[in-house]
Amino acid sequence: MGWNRVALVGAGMIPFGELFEKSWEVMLEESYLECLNSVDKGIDPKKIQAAWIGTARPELHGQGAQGGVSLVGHLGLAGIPCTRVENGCPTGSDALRNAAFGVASGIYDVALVAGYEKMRDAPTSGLLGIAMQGHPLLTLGETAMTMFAPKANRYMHEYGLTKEQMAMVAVKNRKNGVLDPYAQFRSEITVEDVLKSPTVCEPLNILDCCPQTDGAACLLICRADLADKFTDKPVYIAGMGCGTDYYYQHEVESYTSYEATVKSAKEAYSMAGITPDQLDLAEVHDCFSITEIIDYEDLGFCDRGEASQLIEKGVTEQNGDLPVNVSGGLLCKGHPLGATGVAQCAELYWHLRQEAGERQVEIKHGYGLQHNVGGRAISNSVVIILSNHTD
Amino acid sequence: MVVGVTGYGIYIPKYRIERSIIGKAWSGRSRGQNAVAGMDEDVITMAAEAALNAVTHADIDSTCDLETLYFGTSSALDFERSSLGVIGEVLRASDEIDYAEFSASPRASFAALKACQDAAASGRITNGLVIGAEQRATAAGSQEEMNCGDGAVAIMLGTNNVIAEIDEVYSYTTNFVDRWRDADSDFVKEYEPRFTRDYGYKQHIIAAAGGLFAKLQCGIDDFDHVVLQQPNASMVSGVAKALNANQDQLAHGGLINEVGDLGAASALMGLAGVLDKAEPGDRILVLSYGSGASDAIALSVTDAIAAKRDKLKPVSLYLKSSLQVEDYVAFAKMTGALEKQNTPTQIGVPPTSSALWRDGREIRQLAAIKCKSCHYVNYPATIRKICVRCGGTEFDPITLARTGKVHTYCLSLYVPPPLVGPQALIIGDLDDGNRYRALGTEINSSDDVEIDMKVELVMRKIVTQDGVPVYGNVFRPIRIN
Repeated sequence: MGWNRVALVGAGMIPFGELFEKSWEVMLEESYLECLNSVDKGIDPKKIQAAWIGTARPELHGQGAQGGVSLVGHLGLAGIPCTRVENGCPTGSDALRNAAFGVASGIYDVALVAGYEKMRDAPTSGLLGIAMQGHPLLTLGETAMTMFAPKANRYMHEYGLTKEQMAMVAVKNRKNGVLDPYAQFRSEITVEDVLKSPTVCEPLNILDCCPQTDGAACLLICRADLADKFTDKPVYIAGMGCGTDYYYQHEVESYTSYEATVKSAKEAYSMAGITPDQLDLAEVHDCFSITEIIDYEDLGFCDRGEASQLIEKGVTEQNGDLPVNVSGGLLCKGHPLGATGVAQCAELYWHLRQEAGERQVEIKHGYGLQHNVGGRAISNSVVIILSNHTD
Repeated sequence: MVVGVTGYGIYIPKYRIERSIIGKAWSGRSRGQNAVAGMDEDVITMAAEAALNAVTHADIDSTCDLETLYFGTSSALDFERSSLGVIGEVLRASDEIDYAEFSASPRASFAALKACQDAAASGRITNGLVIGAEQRATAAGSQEEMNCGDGAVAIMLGTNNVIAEIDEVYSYTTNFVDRWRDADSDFVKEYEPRFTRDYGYKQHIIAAAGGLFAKLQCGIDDFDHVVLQQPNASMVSGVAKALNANQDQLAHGGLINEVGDLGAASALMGLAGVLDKAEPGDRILVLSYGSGASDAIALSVTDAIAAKRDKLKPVSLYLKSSLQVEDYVAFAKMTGALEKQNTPTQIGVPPTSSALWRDGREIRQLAAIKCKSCHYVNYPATIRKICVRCGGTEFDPITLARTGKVHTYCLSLYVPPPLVGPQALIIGDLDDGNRYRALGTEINSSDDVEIDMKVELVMRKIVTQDGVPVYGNVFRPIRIN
């Protein structure tokens, strides 16, 4: 494919959580400083030529259409081009994807990608209020829960998935998160805990759902041929995909899959020239336990209807054949919308560089996959495949 | 020209409250039960379902053959505007239909009926729909809270294929204050129940009946059925006695202990109950009352009544399809007496906006368009100039089916006010093969919903903002087959 290769040379993140003491500006500033400091050979911020900021719902903390200056204006980078990206739950990953286009095109040599979400400056009712937005009749009542839970019911009906198997996803990711200093939760739970936790939206209990989280993450990317100026261990973008499905829930055909994911995965695998069995790890969208189950099939980790076997057999555990969400995933680490995709790529970056400490997975093929799906009718998806080598 | 009833339809909400439960909350006593509208119902939604039933029973095409819609209620929603057009949308009625809202009395529906009768008798219209609907705002702990029920009746009047001819009408009116709800009051008030009973209800009904008898030169014994306005059981029995009406005559029109005082729907509901059972040749006397006015109407049942019965959803089915409200707290939530102290979340597009004017009509009409190249049905038509499946730009208009089954669903306990959890959201596969997404109603626990369950689209009040209701379709488990 005729594109200039893009390398990741720095990654920074702040521990996710209910950060009542941190403003959104401070979250961005701290993750940016972490990112700068992570660059092995150092970087002069003046070398950053352009930036992309992902934030999905700044309205939640009283900010409206704030644009790209909401990033560079706080980092001492005012003056350089910066674009705000909103693409539902794939907001952060799509910010990286668009920044990568900027570098791949040859227009920019070095670019900054940031993602953040300040979700706890608003009460829970603020987030629930999403249900009243959109089309006053065609989408009224759509919260994150009411968009994902119907897929759980249909999937359970068609494939016999049990609530216990769904709960095992949450149990796995909470166990993984114990080892991740950036995770919102650092404690294990049991299947029984999940099943006995309060019902939020039939058939999902509270422990089947990700928390509301404040967080921010940054990545530095550059032209692959310039990467050695910053590090001897760059990570490369091997493939990227972005897919969409239909806008309204009544137009969506499948309630046992996310067709947007299927499309974005196909594009990303094709661009990377790999198959799912070449992945050493994956950070996938698990906003609800059911989401990760369906992701396994949409991303080609197994055939349709077989996701429950993957979780039953431990294939996706930290020491399994294909570790999924070793960071703890959205269920445990948290899901600050705009930060999530960027943070997932930071996690892959560390693993592919063998820097993930206690939670480091075995790197055999040198590929890691990142995935988000969300937005209206869960019809937006981004998949990014990173590698520790260029071919 | 002979004008009469050509069809009718009723609506009684599913929920019932035992009056003893209200009594227990306020140290009052009463027997029987009242029909209670759900939180997403009002006079317009109840009237719409009754109207659909009436159109089916009358066997007319409401898209072209309906010419008037006259509506009577003492629970009017707005002083400046009327929501009757919403009922017209559900019926997919023509824009040439003549709407009028009669109010300010529980006999408002009879003023509507007389106006419609005159329009038909004059030859101006062939088919007109008269609706009586009621959902009174009653104060917590009041006698009205104990007595009042919710419901709607729609009567199709016309000159063709009449099942009950209107023989004569007589009205009697004086200036009398019994109950009132002035513009500044949230609730119905009453001066003195016994004064209402003896000098309002009784005297006016006796006078109206007497006037009708004189015009027709007949007496109470000439009628097979007598239907009375039913404010409460003892008022009804007192007037029945004064009229010398016997139990046989009163047998099918008495519903006060099943559904409560239905106000503008009360005597019409009684008439529906009688028509459900009446034989050709039967004569019916209907006596309304409200606010110092009474109408006496004499009808004669024709041979056509039997043939139309298979298209009827009779009162008995609606009475049978019921669910008891468990306690006073649940009841108070339904009437609005008890509201969660939580600021309602504003909807993204306010009900007064042009967006709802554009799309709301087609949504309530279930108007969709079928792509000429790939046959995918796009919905609603207004927002789709390009087929979402194939990009085609040529379409044929179609109307979506009202019934289908659950493809999948969820039941959310957490929704922003004014929605109240548990709130179902249903993805349904309609019987015509199209998919529809809507909130659910009358689904109160996971026991009430499952995949493949049969559901029907009914029009309900989704939210109210700044006093303006938003009406849309919701899925209900099929209530009456």
